[in-house]
This record gives sequence, C-alpha cells and structure tokens, in this order.
Amino acid sequence: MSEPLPREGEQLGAREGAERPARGNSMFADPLVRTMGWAGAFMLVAFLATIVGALFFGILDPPAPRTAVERDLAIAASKIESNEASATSEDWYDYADALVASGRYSKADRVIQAARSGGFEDPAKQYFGLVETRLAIARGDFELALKESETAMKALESQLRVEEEAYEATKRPSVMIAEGLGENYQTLQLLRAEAFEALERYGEAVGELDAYLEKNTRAADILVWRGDLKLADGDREGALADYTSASTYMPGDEDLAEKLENLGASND
Amino acid sequence: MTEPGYPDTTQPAAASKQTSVRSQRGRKIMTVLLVFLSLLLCSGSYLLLRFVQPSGEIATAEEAEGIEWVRSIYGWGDGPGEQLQQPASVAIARDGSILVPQVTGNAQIHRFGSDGAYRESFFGSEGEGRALFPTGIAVGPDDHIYIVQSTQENLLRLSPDGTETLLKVDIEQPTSVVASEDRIVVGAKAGFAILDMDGSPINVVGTAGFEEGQFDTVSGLALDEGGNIYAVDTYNNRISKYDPDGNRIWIVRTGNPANQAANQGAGSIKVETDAPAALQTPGAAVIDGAGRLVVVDMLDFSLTVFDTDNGDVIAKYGTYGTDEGTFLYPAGLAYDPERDWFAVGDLGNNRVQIVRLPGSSDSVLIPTARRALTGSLRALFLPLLLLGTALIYWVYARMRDRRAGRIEGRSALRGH
Repeated sequence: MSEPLPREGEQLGAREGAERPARGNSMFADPLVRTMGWAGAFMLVAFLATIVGALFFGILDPPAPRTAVERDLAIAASKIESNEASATSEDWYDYADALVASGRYSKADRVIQAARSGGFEDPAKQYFGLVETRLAIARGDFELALKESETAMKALESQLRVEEEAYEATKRPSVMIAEGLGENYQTLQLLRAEAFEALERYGEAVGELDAYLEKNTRAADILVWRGDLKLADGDREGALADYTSASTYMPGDEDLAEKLENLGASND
Repeated sequence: MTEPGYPDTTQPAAASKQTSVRSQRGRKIMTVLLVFLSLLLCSGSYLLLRFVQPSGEIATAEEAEGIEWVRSIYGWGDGPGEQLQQPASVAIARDGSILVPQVTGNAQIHRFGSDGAYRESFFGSEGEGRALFPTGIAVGPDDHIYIVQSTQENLLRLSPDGTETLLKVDIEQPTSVVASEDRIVVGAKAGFAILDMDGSPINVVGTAGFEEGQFDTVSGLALDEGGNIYAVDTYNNRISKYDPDGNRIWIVRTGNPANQAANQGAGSIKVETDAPAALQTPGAAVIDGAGRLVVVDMLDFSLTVFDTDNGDVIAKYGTYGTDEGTFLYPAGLAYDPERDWFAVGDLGNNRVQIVRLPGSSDSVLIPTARRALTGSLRALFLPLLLLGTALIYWVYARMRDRRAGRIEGRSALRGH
C-alpha cells in the first residue's frame, strides 16, 4: 500500500491527530479543540464534585449556628416549628426579623404573609410593619420602607387613640396606655431616618431623629448621626452642636474627636 | 473532475481546507462554550459561597484590631434554654474539641467539635442539681480534665473514662489551673501551688499583697515546654515567669494595679499607664504555637502577646463590640496547637469565639490543612482528589508515551 499523502490539516493535529484517525473529520481532530473540551469537562466535573463534597460533608447545612444572627434564626425557627399555633406575634416577628438579618428576604416575606394570614398581627406592637420596613431597607427599596413605616406608625397612633378612649371610659389601664407609642414606634423613626438618608433627603432624616431624640435625649450615637446628617445638609453649626452634646456622653471617643476637629473644635 | 489515470490531487487539498474550516469553527464553538461554562460555574460558585458563608455582622481583621474570626459557638441546641450563658472559662482537648463549663442552671460541661458542632454534655445530668463553680478549666496532656472551683476550694479531675477524683487542695480561693505530664499548677488569691499528679503540694509560691513576690488573684497560668510557669496576677496587673521549681525568672508590670485605685485617689481604675501592655485586668493565659505568651484582658477587650524570654509586649489584638470577632468582657482562653487557633470565652456576648492571631505558629501548612478539614473547604476534597488523580494519570501517560517512543526509536535503529 502506498503512503497516504500528507494533509494540510495535520499541521493542526500534529502527530497525535495522525495517530488517532478515529476522530476523522470532526472538529475534535484539532488538539486545541480537544484540550478545550477536556478543560470544560474537567471544570464541570470539578464543580459537580464540589457540590457532592459540600453535600457529603454537610457544609450546606452547618452543624451549629456560627454567628449571633444564625443563632437568633435557629431559636426563632425552632419556636415556630415546635408549635406554630401557640406561637405569639412576637415569635413570628423574631423569625421574620432573623430571616431579614440573615439575608433570606423572600422567605421573610413569605413568613410575614403567613403570620398575617394566620391572624398573628398585634396592632398594639406593629411587629410586622416594623419587619416589613426593615425588609424594604435591606432590599434597598427605601420608598417602600417609608410607605411601610408610615402605615405602621399611623396604625400605632390610631391604636393609642383607641386605647386612650377606652381608658377614658373604663379607667382600666393597658400596657400601651402606660408605655405610650412604645419602642417599636421609635425604632420606626430610626428606620425612616435611615431611608431618608439613603434617598439623600437629609432634612427629613433630621426631622425623624429630632422626634426620636425628644424621647431619648442621651442617645449619643443618634446625636452623632444627626450631626452627620446636618453636616451633609450643609448645617455646620447644627452639626457642631450635636457633636458637642454627644461628646458629653462619649469623652475620648476617637471618631467623634476627629469630627469635632474637622469642625474646629475638640473632644476633651 | 480529474482525468482517468492521473492522481486526484484536488481531493486532499479540499479535505484539508474542510478540516481547517471545521477546526476553526470548532475552536469558536469551544471558546463560546468555555466562556459560557465559566460564567455559569462562576455564578454557581458565587451562589455556593454565599450559601456557605456565615450570615451576620462579622468584623474584618482590620475592624477587630488584628483578630481573625473563624466561628463562634453559641449553644448546644436551638432552644432559648440551650444557649451558653456567660462562658467565663474554656479549654481545648487534644482532639481539638472545645470544653465549656455551664455554671448557670444545670451544671454541665459541654463538648463541641472543632467544627463547632455540639457533641456531648457531661459531669451533671438533667435535674441532678449538682453544683459546679469552675473558675478555671484545663485539659492535661493525658486528656484528664481539671476543674478548679474557687468557692469549694477544690480541684476536680475527670478522667477520659469518666472517673471523677476530687483533689482537696490546701490553698485558699483557687482560681486557675494548668496541667503538664507530671504536675498540676493551681493559681489562687495569694499565689500559686505546684502539685504532683495526686494533688500533693511540691511548692507554694507567693503571699497575698501588692509587693513583688506577692499576689492578688492569679487568674491566668500557663506552662511552656520547659515546664516554666507564667503567672498572671490580675489585680496587681503583673505577669511573672517562674522556673519549674518556683524560682522567679522575670516580672513585668502590665498596667495600673486595679486593687490600688483607691490608693491612687481615684474613684475608679486609672486607665493611663506607662506600662507598654496597658492592660486593666489581665486574666487567662496560654502559650501559643510560636512559644509566645498570650493573655486575655476582660476590661481591655484584648488578647496581648508577650515575649516569654523577658515579658516584652509583642502585640495587642482585639476590640470592644458585639460583632463576631470583637469582644464583650472576654474571660476564658485556650489554644489549639493542632489548628493554630484560640478559643475565647466571650462572657458578655454569651459565646465562645474561635479566633486566630498573626504569627501564632511556626508551622503553617499542617495547621492550615487541619483547619480546612473543619470548615467549608472540606467541599474541595473531592475536586482536589480528582485533580490529583488526573495529574497522576497525565504523568503516567507521558512517561508511557516517552518509553514507547524510545522503544520505537531503538527498533527503527536496529532495522536500519
């Protein structure tokens, strides 16, 4: 038999291509294509092996909470799972809040809806309004956060009016009569300030913190925050006044000292 | 068409052109496929990483003043009553498991794996009502657990087989303990005692007081490889090194003595100090893998590293906070030389934190591999195994081809 004529295609295949004529005219006759094919196959196999390894070693399901957020979520979930019917609105709120904190927003949303439809809403606490505001902020939907918080705050205000009227009639006090609008209302004010700040509506953010500081006059960190917002709004004097007030409660704080120094004052 | 009798020279040229076109197309297709696959796998890996990453507020090493957080341990179950409450002491066994005594409620010692998974609780049992007031816990090289109880003024030894031995130590207010192969050292209000393995005293060092050689609560003790003893005198704010017989080698002041705040005319502890360590209430201590002394300070929220040769400060790490990696009144401290990490009883945050410090081990490879086996990197075991197998096969195939080439060459030479 005569030797086959050398083909130009062999330059691509070199010796290996000639040794393996089975690949014939397919694109895999090109060793580079073959190598790329092997590389792709290896990547895929390695990825699948990683998934199998993660499943085998239980990495996708950590054996124990590793952070405070994971612990809170585990505790809240166990409360709900152990007895869903006897769980309180606070338990549902804790669960949804822990889901938001751990970044599981869709599940948080579903939990809130499930709790609402299960009749776990507490009008006197507005837990779900609070967690919905947090969820909206976490998702970066600040307009929605403002809407949710406003609804929750109005609900709290109207609930207080109802209880005041009832108290006038019966003289029987309630927790809300004793506490007023409560801690959740103040937290909503802070969340609104956060949302306004993100939307660069500094004046309105300052307004929310003004209202908060009326009830919490010694909240030094909030004073500093309000100072920052005033500064961002161009109110240097207002910022200096807030930083100076905060320095009473935070003497020697390095960050605050730097802020005061930038405004030409000192934190002694 | 070619004429009959003449070789068809156009066919190989056409085939060659066809092959070349196929090859070019193949390369394009494979490039697109590889890019698509890479993007797909990158997204998959990102999602996987996000899934296995712990969620929560985790301080970076920079934010935590040099502390590298590994994980925290919060409890032995998901119930509110199954969470650690103010863990003031912690120990690490030879197998890397972490022991945390639970003082409040039902007195128990909880054991967690190095991966943070709860393993078992022992010493007490539900409803038994046994008291446990550990001020210090240590694990000896023989895996015996030593628990010193200040209010009971005793030393409890738990053998690996579960046998409990109560050693009545003749020392007032024992506060800390450390054990080697042949001796137990117990820290106390007025110094420390060197005991044999039966609890009989070999030497008692110190008296109560402010002067050098006197002590005011030895909350931290450490033993180095040479059997030298490091005693942390908490309220005198001093650290001293002693040889195995109890002779002092050096003593350093680590801050203003907390017990003399009234003498200084101040209502509270004076914070400013000339001492380089600038500690407030130094407590538990360990020797790390690099042979350095590491001391935890509850009120300074720090881990401070000292040179064991002279007591010089090498570095200070840690800051106040509730984020993972920061401390709120850290009190307990233990070191795992196998994995080169520390367990810190973060009392105020109700957790034990596993953290790492820069330069804490002379060896890098083995502790890194061991740590990897306790974390998410375990998932890479199979792909690495595959990669290793593929590499071995590739080397084998290359060697086989070369050998075949050599044999063919020799045959060809013989033929000629």
